[in-house]
Amino acid sequence: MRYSYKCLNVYFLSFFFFFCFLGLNAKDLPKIDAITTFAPEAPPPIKRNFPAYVVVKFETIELTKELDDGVKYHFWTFDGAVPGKLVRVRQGDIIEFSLHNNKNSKMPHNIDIHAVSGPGGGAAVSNTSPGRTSVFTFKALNPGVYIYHCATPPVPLHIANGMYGLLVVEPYKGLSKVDREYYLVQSEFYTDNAYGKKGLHGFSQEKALMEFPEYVVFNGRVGSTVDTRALVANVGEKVRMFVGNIGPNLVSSFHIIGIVFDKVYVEGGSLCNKDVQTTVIPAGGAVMIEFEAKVPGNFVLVDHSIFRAFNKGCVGILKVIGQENKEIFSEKAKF
Amino acid sequence: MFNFYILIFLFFNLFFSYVKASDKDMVLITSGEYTPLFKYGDVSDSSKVYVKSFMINKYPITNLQFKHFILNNPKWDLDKVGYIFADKNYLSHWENVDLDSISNYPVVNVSWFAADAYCSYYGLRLPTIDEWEYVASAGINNPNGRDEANYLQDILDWYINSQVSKIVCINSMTKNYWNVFGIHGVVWEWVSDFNSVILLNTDAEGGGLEELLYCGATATNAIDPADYVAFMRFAFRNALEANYTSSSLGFRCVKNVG
Repeated sequence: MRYSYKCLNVYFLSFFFFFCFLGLNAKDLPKIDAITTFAPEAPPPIKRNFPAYVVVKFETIELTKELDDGVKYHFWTFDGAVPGKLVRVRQGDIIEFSLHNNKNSKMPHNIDIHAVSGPGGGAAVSNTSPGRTSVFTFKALNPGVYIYHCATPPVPLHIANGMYGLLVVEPYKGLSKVDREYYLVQSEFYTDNAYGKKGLHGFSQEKALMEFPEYVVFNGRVGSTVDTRALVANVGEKVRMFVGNIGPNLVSSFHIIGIVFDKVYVEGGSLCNKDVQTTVIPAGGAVMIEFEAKVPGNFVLVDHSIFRAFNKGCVGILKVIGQENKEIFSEKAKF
Repeated sequence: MFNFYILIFLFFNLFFSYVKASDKDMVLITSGEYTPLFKYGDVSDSSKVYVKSFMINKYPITNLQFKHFILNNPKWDLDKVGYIFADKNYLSHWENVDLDSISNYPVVNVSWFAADAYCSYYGLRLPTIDEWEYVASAGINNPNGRDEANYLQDILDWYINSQVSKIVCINSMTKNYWNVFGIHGVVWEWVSDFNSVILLNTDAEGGGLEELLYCGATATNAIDPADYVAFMRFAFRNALEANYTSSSLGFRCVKNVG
């Protein structure tokens, strides 16, 4: 008699576990809207220690705006910006991704998110006509920093015209605490006019095929992060940067003049390299960089394939404010 | 009184025969071969597709022509068409607009069903992908546009550097070798078998549509990977459903000859 009660317990217990597993279904996860930000800002770190059903909404928009002062280009964008918004989720989250194509678009668009394990990274199910919306879900299985981009044929053209951004999947344990975070994407533009020539520039397929860009820029335009738009940090602060490179052709040799990266999460993955001067970011890849701002000054972000920085626009500024530290850096004399 | 009705009837017939797509509005496209974007079906030994002769509208169908069609076919009126046949943006560019001001502009925001009904009403039909592409592959002076310098880049410029709002009226469209006006650079155009791109190549070479469309290998099966405009049309058709309408999507009709 006692034995059979025990059996019954096991029976109920197994039921209990069965329902526990059911509880992990996407529908039972807490549903939240993703917090997304335009470059160079990054959404706040994730405080959750449990998975959620995260809703992300993007709209593809085709619009003409400045690529440089006085230079205009007809961009294809996610949410009107180049790069598109930074999305931040947690490993194990289910993401419901909704892609709306503005009704004034001329092109269909879709999205390939490199964090997706599935056909086309989502592109296979998201080719969306103007005025329409496509929705798909995926589970963020791997932590890391991931590129997303439009992959509607002809793929290179949709990328070259500005359709890309980053999605960060924080590991279960979260990322270490820092004082500031920034979001940066490097890309090229193949214009049918020479660099700096005023007016409306079109896309040159010839230059794209030759891999000969007129512009190489951070965050979608020349001077996106200089002067009043410069990135800022205070002396002593820990800074983290999510830096992507979409190409479409070039590999970036990312470097900040006058700063050594304390940590580089190579290719945006889990491998951490330390004490790095210049890090390679493949086309269609990303990297996570951490360093401490040690002394004040203007620190120049470049692609150290240096003609791109000097002649094609690939320059940004990190302005560090605060007390000098003469032990670390000081000018002595000139002779 | 009866005579009066007959008179009215005759008058209307005369009037509509003018509006009706007559041979005068159509040009002859003589048979020939063209090279499609992708190899498919059983043509793997030859990249060319043979297209029979047909007649095609010189211009895309205009707002005025479509209005007359609706007068004769009230079930295609804005308020009467169900969602199954045309989505909510059907003819939405007619709202709050003096129709006279856009009468000679290509009609847009029409569904495949509406376009198909229009053509059928006049004893015509929508072109097939092969027919449309055959006409569109001509240059200005040459049945094969690729023989003309800048052919691809010029079309590409029209598509990617102009905005939807810049749809031009039929009088300012450029004509190609076949005397067909505005086949490029104005609006997308419906074809009868737009959804057949979904079936394309599913049984050939083991690669399905996804492989064709979405991998870096997109171009591997394409005959001319540099023909970006053909890729754009391919992608555009792939994203459509028959009740969809778009502010940059119109149509023109064809008819068989012989």
